[in-house]
This record gives sequence, structure tokens and C-alpha cells, in this order.
Amino acid sequence: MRTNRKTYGLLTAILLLLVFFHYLGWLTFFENFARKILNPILTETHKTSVKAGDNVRYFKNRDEFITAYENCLNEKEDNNVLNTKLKLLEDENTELKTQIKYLQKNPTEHVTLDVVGRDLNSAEQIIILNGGSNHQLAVGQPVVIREGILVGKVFKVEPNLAWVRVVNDHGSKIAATILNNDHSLGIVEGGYGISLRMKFIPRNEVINVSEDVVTSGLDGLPRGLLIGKIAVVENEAYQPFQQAILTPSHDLTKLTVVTVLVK
Amino acid sequence: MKKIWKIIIALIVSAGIFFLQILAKEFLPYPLNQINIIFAAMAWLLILTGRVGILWYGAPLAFLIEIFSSSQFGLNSLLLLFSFLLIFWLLINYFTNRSLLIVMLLGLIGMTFYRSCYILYQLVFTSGGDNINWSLGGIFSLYGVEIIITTVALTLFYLLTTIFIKKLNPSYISISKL
Repeated sequence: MRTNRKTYGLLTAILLLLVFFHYLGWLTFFENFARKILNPILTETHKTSVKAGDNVRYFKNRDEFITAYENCLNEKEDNNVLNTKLKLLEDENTELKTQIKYLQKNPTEHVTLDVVGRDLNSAEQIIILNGGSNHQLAVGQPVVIREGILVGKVFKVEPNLAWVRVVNDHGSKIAATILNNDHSLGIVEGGYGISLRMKFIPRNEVINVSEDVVTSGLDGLPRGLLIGKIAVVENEAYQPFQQAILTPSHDLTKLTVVTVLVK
Repeated sequence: MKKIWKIIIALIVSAGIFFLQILAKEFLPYPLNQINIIFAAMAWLLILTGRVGILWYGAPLAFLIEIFSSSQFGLNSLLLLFSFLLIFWLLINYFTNRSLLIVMLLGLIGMTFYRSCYILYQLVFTSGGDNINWSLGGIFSLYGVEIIITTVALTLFYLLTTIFIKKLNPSYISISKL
């Protein structure tokens, strides 16, 4: 029993010393060395898991498979129609871009980073990026993918690593607006990594399924970053506000490269 | 020489557990990706051997956990150590028979203690990020799944080990013949 106490005492003392040395900065060399070795391994593991996820789709039964196939065919037809519209819009867009170039005096600075992996010792939806304060990253900056799809916000930064709380994490709250006639405002909250829910939408405003939801810019994030589309509207008579379930614009479990808007 | 071997074994055990945790997080679907392999593996080793000294093998693991952790440096390792202390104390003083139910109970108590302290720390000492929703229901839904699934994993580890070490161990046959 005495030996056990001694072992526990020693282990606790060593851990406390580690913490002390960490905050003094004496462990920085070892931390950076370990991260330098482990970062590529973690990144490759993460990329492999994303690839594996892309190739697997489960169907419970034959009917579900056939329904999915029919939906796929329908979507293909819809896409053909959309492609025609897109062509027209593309021409228009090229013209607009030329004009915007003249108006953009202060372009947004951004940093593109690899996703190292997920936070290992947490049940929350947190991803780790391979860049930190050395790359101009700071707490609260928005993280996006593609043409401005919001992924989350930076909430912890170290010189060469940053932690991002993904929008579908239970702790994430983003001020948002729906692109409907009323431009309804609300707050998008995560649902334990599974769903997105927009709350506090005034009951008298009309919102429809498939309408886009973007950041409103009221909480410091840039306005207009795409969050998702409305999938279900819940407007109960006894509730002071209506709310909506959103489908994220991108699969948030399959992030490999992201862009942080640093200014 | 013996000490060098111990250090090498500690490094291998730590790296093994660390990569198992990564694989579980990255490849298993929800809720299986919520298994805390680090807790389950170290608690399993502790219960199986009944020696606190086994925790030395996890010392390098503490460093690896902390450099990739989003919480304060040292918090997870210290809380894990304290929860193992609680498990060991219960194992020595109260739950001495090490049946499957006892292992399950120990896992449940240890994991609940670990996460309760973690949540308490986040509530008291940090703002927990810029705008975190720390509703009680949310916390229980999030960490409750982790506690249950880790306890089940620990029990399964122990069950498999007891089958292979005790029931399928040929030395028992010779002992029973004597």
C-alpha cells in the first residue's frame, strides 16, 4: 500500500511538473518535435478515414436502395435543368466579377490549412488545424470551405496548431439569417454533432424548406457565409418562436482542407 | 537494462493506446467513436494486474494526450490519474472480487468521476470558449454516451481477457489435476 502511495505521489508530481514546465515554455521543443512527427500521421489517418467514408453507403433493405437510385435519377434530371440555368448565370457572373474587382479595395485575408484530425479526448465536435498564431490565426475567426461555406470558429490557438468548434457541435451558436422575403433572423445551434437547428425565428415570418441560411454578421462573423438549407420547419402554436432543422451545406465529418478568414 | 526495457515497453504501450484512440475516433461510427480507449485501456490494465505501477506505462501517453488536447494542458492527465486512484482504492478496499459486474461498476464510477470533474472544471474555471451552450441536458447527452460506451468497452476487454487468461489457460488444467 505504501509503494502504491509512493507511485501515485510520484506520478502526480511528474504530471504537475509537466504542467508547470509547459506554462514556463520549457517543453516547447519537445511538444513541437512530437507534433512534427505526429501531425503527418494524424493527417494521413484523417484523410484515409474521410476516403473510407466516401466509399461506403449502407442500405437497410432492397427498397431503400431502389428509392435512393430513383432519387438519384430524379436529381440528375433536375441537375440537367439547373446546368442550363447555370450556364446563363455563369456568363452574368463573369461580367459581375469584372465589376467587383474594381470595388474590392480591401480583400479578405485568408489562410488555407490542413485538418490534422479531431480532438482525441473530447466528445465534442472539434477539429485540429496544422496552423496557429504563427499563421495569423486568432480566436473567433471563421473557418470556411469552398466558396464560403461556414465550417466553424477558431476557439483555441497555439503557435502551430488551432482548434475549431464545428458548427454542428452542441456548443456552437451562430447568428444567422434566412434568404427568404423577410430575411428572418435567428441563431443556428449545433445538435451533438448530428444536426443543425435554427432557433428564435419570429413566428409571423414565412420560411420554406430548401431556403438557404447564411451568417447574419451580427456576432462578428462576416455576413453571407453559407451555413445550410432549411430541411424542416417547426412552428408550434404554443411556442413564442418558430425553429427550423437545417441540412449542412457540406458533410462536416469529411473536412480535409479548410480556409480561415484571418481579417 | 531492465529499466531501459521498461521505458521501451512504456513507449510502445502509450503509442499503441494513442493510435487505437485515433483509429476509434476516425473510423468508428457514432456512438462507437465516443469510446474513450485511453481510459478503458489503462483501467483494464489496472484492474487486471492490480498494481498501481502499471500506470507508469501510461506516462508518455499523458504527454501525447495533452499536446493534442483542446482543454488546459495537464487537465485530462491529472483527472485520469485521480479517477484511476479512485478505481484502485475501491478495488483494494470495497470491490475485491473482480467479477464482471464489479468491473462494470468500477468503470462507471471512474468514468463518471473523470467527466464530472472535467465538466466542473470547465464550468468553474473557464468560459469554455466564446459562446458554449452548457445546458445540463446537453452535457449529460454528450458525456453520458461516452461514459456508457466506455464502461461497456472496459467490461468487454475484461471479459475477453478473463476468457483467454483464466478459462483457456492450460495451467489451470494441471492445477486441477493435482
